[in-house]
Amino acid sequence: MFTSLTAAIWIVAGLAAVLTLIFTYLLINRGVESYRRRRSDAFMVSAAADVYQFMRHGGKPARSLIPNERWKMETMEKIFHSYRYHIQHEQLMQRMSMFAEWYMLDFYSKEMRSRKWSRRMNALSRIIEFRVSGLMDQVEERLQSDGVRSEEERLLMVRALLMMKEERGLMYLKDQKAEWSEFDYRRLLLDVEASSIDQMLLVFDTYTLPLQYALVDAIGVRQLTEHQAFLESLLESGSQEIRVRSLKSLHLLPVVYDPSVYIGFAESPLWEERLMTAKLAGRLPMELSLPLLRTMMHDSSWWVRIEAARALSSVHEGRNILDELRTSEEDRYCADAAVEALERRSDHVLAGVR
Amino acid sequence: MSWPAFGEAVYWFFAVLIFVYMLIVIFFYTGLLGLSAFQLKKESRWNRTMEHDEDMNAHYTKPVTVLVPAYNEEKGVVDTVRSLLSLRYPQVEILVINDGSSDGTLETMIEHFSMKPVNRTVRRQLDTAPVHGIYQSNILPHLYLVDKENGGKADALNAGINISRYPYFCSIDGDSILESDALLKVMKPVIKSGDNIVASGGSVRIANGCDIQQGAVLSTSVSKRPIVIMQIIEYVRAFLISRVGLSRFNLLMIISGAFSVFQKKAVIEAGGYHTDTVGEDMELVVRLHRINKEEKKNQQISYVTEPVCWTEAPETMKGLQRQRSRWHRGMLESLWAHKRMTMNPKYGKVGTVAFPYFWIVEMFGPVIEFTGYLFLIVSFFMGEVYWQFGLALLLMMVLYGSLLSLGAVLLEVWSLNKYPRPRDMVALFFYSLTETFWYRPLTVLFRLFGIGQWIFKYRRWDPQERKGLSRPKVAD
Repeated sequence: MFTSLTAAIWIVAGLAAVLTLIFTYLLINRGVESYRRRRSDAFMVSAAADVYQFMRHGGKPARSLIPNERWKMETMEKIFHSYRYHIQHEQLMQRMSMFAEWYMLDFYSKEMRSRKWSRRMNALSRIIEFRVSGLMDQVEERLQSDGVRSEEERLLMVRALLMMKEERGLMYLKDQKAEWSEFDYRRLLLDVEASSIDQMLLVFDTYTLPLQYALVDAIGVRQLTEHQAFLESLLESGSQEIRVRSLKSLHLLPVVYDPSVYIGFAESPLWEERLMTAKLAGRLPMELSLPLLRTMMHDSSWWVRIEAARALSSVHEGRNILDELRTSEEDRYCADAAVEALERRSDHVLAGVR
Repeated sequence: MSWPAFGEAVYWFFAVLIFVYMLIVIFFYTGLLGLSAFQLKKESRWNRTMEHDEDMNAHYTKPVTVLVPAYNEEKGVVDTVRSLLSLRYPQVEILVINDGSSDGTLETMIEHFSMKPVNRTVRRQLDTAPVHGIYQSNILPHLYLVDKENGGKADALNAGINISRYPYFCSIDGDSILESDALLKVMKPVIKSGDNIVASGGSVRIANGCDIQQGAVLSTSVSKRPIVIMQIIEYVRAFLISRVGLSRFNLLMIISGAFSVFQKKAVIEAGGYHTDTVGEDMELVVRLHRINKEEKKNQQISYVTEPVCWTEAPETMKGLQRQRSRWHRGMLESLWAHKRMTMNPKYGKVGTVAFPYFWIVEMFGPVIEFTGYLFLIVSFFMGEVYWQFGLALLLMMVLYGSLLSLGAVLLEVWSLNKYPRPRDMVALFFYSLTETFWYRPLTVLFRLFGIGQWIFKYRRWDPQERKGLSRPKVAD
C-alpha cells in the first residue's frame, strides 16, 4: 500500500509539475503575442498614409509596406481586409491583388505546403480574398494530389479555381464526388463570373440537388435577368423545391415579363407556392394583381394572408381594399391580417416623415 | 462475523466503490479533454474573417427571433437589449417578454425604447398564460415587447414562440450579454447543415469583473472575488471539456439556457417548453432527442466552442447555493421525466451512453463525492492503513477536481484566450489548484441540496439576485 501510495503521489506531483511548465510556457507565449500585437498595431498606424497612397494612386508601393516577415504579412492582410470590407471598388481590388502577386505570392505558396491545416486554410482564404491568380497551377496540382483530405480545403480550392481559372474550376465542380451542402455551393457561387453561371446552366440537370438549388438562388440574388426564361422553364419541374425556389428567384428579378406564367400558382395546393405568388403579385399590373390578392386574403395559410396584405398595403388602391376587409365579420383571420398590414404601413410612413 | 469485522468490510466495500468511480470518471474526462484539445488545435489558428463577413450576406442566413424572457429584470434588461442591438446578423427581431414582473421592467422598457402598443396577428400554437399586449419600439422597429401574466420562464418563452415571426428563435436570459457575432457563430451549423440541426448552443463565460458598457463587453478580466473566479474555472471546464466532447457524438443534453438557438418548427412539434420544470432548457433538448429517435428524423444538436455569451454569476454563497440547487433539481426532473430512455437501445447512443453518463456522473456524482469527502475525514482518524487510503483518495480528488480544471484552464489560455491579462491567467491557474479543497465540496453540498429539494417535492423557482452588469455611470 505504502509503495503504491508513494507512486501515486509522484504521479500527481509529476502531472502538476508538467501542467505548471505548460502554464509557464503559455504565459511567456502570451507575453510575446502581446508584444507582436502592439508592434502590428503600431505598424498599422504608421503605414496608413502609405497604404492609402498606394490604394488611391497605384504605382509602386512604399518600401516600408513590403512585407518581409510573417507579422508584417499578416498585418498587411488585416489592412487589405479592412479596405475590402469597407470599400467595394474594382480598381482597389486590382491594386490589392497586384500587391499580393508581387510580395505575398511566395509566402502563400509556402503556406499552402504547410503541414498545418489551419495555415493552409488561411492561405487559401487570402488567395481568394486578394485574387492571387499566380498560384492557380499550384492549387490545381494540390487538388489533383491525394493529400487533401479535408472537404473544407477542397471547397476553397475549387472556389479559387472557379474564380481565377474558370474552365478548370467548372471541371472540378462537375467531377465533385463528395456531398457538399447547399451552403457550400452558395459560397462557391458567391464570386464566380456570370459567364461561369451561363456554362453551369447548360449542364444544370447533371448537377446534384444542392448545387441546382444554389444555382437557382444565385440567379435571383445576383439578378441575372438574362436567365428569366430558364427560371420560368423550371416552373414546370416535377420538384416542388425547385418550383418554389424558381418563384422566389423570379420575385427577386427586377422585371416581370409574363404574368400568366405565375398566376396559376395562386391555386396551388402548396402554401409555399401560393406565398411566392402573393409576393410576385405585388409586382403585376394592378388590374391583375388586386383581384388576385383580394382572393388570397382569404387563403387558409397565415403566411399567404400576411404576404397578400403586405403586397396590397404598398399601393393606394390596395389599401382601400384592406380598409374594406378590416371590418370583415365573416373572416376574422383576413381582417386581422388587414389591420396589421395597415398599421405597419402607417408606421413606415411616419418613420419616413421623422 | 463480529461487528468490527463487518464494519471494516463495509468500509472497504465503499472505499473501493468510490475509488473505482473516481478512476473511471478521471479517465472519461481526460479522454474528453484530449478530444477537445484535438478539435481546438485544428481550428484555433484558422483566421475566419472572410467567412464571417460572407456570413453577413442575408441570402445565406436564416432569420432569427431573439426571445428575452424578463421577470423582475429592470436592472439588467436594458443592457441586454442594447447588447442585442449590436448583434451582427442580417435579419433579426427582438422580443422581450415581460412575464408579469412586479418591478418596473415593463415601464423601463417602454420608456427607454419608446414603445407603443401594436396589433400583431398571433398564431397561438402553444398554450400560455394570457398576453395583455404587444408593444413595438418607435425608434427600433424590430424590437417588440410582450406583456403577459406571470407563468414562469418556460411559459414566457412559449408566448414568445407564438408571437415570433421567424423560423428560428434564440432564447437568452435577461442577465446575459452577447458577443456581436454570437448569432452568426451559433447559426453557422444551422446554415451549413440545413434543417436537420434543431438546436445549437454556444459557450458561455462569466461577465462579473468584465468592463461592460451600454450592453457591450469592452474588455474581459477576472473578478477579484474567489467565488466568482471558481465559477469562471467551472464554466471553462464544463464548456471546454464536457460539451465539446459530447457534441461531437450528438450526445449533448444541455445547451445553455443563457443563449441557444432552436428551430421553431421542431420545438412546436415537440410541444414547446414544459412549464412544470425548473430545467426547461435541458428538458426540451432531451425531448428533442427522444422525438428524433422515436420518429427517426436524423436531427442533430450542435455546439460551438467559441464563447458567445457573457452571463452574471452569483457573488454570494446564498446565491450560488440557490442557483446550483435549482440547476441540479432541474437536471433530475429532466432525467426523471424521460427515465425510460435510460439504457434503452431504441434511443441509440443518447439512451445507452448519454443517459447513463448523466445519471451516474452528473446526477449521482455529488452523492459519491460527498461520501468520498466523508471517507477522507473518517480515514484520517482511523489508523495508519486507513489514512494511507485517505491520502490515496485525496490524490484522486485532486486529480479529478483541481488538475482536470487546471487542464481546462490551460486549454482556454492556449486556444481561446478570453482572459489575456497575465494577472488573470495566474489567478485562474492558482485558484484551479484549490478547487478540491473548498469550492468543490461546497458545490457538492449545494447539488445534494437540489436532490433533497426534488425528493421533498420543492418546486419553486428561486430567483437570482441581480446587480446588473454595466459599469456604474459616472455622476452626471
